[in-house]
Amino acid sequence: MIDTPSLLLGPKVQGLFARALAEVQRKGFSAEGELVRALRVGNPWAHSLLRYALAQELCTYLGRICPGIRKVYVYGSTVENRAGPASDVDLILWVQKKSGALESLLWQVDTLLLRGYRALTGFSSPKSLFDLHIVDDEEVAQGKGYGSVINSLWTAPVPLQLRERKSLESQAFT
Amino acid sequence: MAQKDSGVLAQAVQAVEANPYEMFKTQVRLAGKKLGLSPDLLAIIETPERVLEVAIPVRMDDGHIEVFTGYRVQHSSVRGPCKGGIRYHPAVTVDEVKALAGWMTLKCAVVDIPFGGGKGGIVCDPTKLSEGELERLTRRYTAMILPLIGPNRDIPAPDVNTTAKIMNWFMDTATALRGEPMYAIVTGKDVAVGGARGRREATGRGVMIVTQEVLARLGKRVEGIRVAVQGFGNVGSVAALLLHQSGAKVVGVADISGGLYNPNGLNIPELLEYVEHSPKRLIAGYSAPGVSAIPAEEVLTLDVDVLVPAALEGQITERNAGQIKAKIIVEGANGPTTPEADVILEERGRIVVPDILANAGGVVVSYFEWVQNLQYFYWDETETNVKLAQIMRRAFNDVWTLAQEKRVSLRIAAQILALSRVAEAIRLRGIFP
Repeated sequence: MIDTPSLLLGPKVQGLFARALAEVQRKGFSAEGELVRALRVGNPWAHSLLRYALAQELCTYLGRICPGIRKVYVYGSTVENRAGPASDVDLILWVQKKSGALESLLWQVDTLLLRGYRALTGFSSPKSLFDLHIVDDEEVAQGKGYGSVINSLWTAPVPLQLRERKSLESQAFT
Repeated sequence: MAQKDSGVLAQAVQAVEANPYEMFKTQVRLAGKKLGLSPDLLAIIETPERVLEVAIPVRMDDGHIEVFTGYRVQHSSVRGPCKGGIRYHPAVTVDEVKALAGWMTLKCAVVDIPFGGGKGGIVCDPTKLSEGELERLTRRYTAMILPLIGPNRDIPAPDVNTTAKIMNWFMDTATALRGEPMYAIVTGKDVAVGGARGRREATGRGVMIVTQEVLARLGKRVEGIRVAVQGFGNVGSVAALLLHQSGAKVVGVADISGGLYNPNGLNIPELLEYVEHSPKRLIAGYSAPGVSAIPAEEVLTLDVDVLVPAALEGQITERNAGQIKAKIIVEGANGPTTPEADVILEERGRIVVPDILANAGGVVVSYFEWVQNLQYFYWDETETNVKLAQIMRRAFNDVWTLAQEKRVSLRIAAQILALSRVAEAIRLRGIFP
């Protein structure tokens, strides 16, 4: 009916968001009220946990559809447990070859997740949830731009788990 | 406090639901970033110029009055009068209409016709309305939005569940209320009341033209190439017929009733003749030597050079994109490829001619209809087809060249090209006051 398949992303990203919330609850905020209050008062532990869980779910989602993704790294406040309400999630996506379609998909997913984040926390910032940098083989090999951050001792980005594509093909992604 | 927080997680998950207008704005921002447009300029482009909501009281056949809700959104008139269809559907929302109006602005800009974007809709289920109710609904809606529309302001057209007959009523109502002929206030009318010859075939013809163009860029000719077409309605059947007439082998077609396959090429004129006389105008039941019935979805993954998805949105997904063998995908339908499938197709080196360009033949001939109505000078079909080909070839060339220059996909190039044309018009006109 609606002339845009981007709307089909909605249920998938809803699933991604719901799984991230469940993970945060499993890791320390089992009561809904407790989690909501912690996020709304800016508790760094809650904000970091949520951001890490969202990053991991995004990574799993991308691993399923993009065979060209080599690794996804998270760094900054999320992994240092100092994320606040306005923090974004610093991510580096290492891909074989950059793709406009991938960039477009990521923007759309970010838009949707941000709506959920705002409804959850009541905060209107950040402007985007992920600060995402896509690097290709050449940039990593030559240590160019964010390709150099991957091996940085100072930034020490943490690789997220890219699940095996085959094991996920049979799973419904809702 | 705990009670107050209860349900927040569920509400947050609900908020993640995709909103068409948010998706439109996201596309504009991404293309704007690539163009280096300022946030101020992007804010203008993202936001519709006018949003009108109207209440439409209609006397139903049983005598009671029902009040329907309708919308008309004028997204942008910066490049010309707003242009876009009117849909009748129970799921119409104002955000959907705003998004669709925005996409019309981009579509008209891609093919460089002097229109901005608009869209309208009525929240209704037309299958449950009698013809009389449908006519009264259309005429009252026309009256309600008439202060905002006109041949030099905003020109509606058919869309989901709206037909030439509805456009005829629309024009007739506007004529009655304004007291002068108003043929150019709406397009998609029947030929006898100002419609353009060749309008019905225009979208399918446009698909055929861009297919020829993309093949030419790859050093190939249409003769002998293998084609599969999903959808055998106005767009798919015309594209299949014209490609067949150009020498292509249309080896597979599908519609909601199933698929047909002949490795040596289907006899498309014969199949059209069959469909013409079948009760529901479907391909099911057709048989001929060498033709086998296949599941409808298999047509997407046939071993062909060109795939034309010309049915519904969201047909090429992450589940089947990896199996698509066609090197070229020409999007006859609106939005047949999901964003995830787009990633997979790009990684696999497939060339996707995006809907915003591939199926723009319809709006181009709507433009011709408007021009003819304004001039009271009507063209024959050949003239329409020649001019359509000129515009589609020029648009394809513009998009192809930009994609090569910027090393981006045709989809991204089309969005960038469209946005740059809209942005240029805003810059040149300046901001009033």
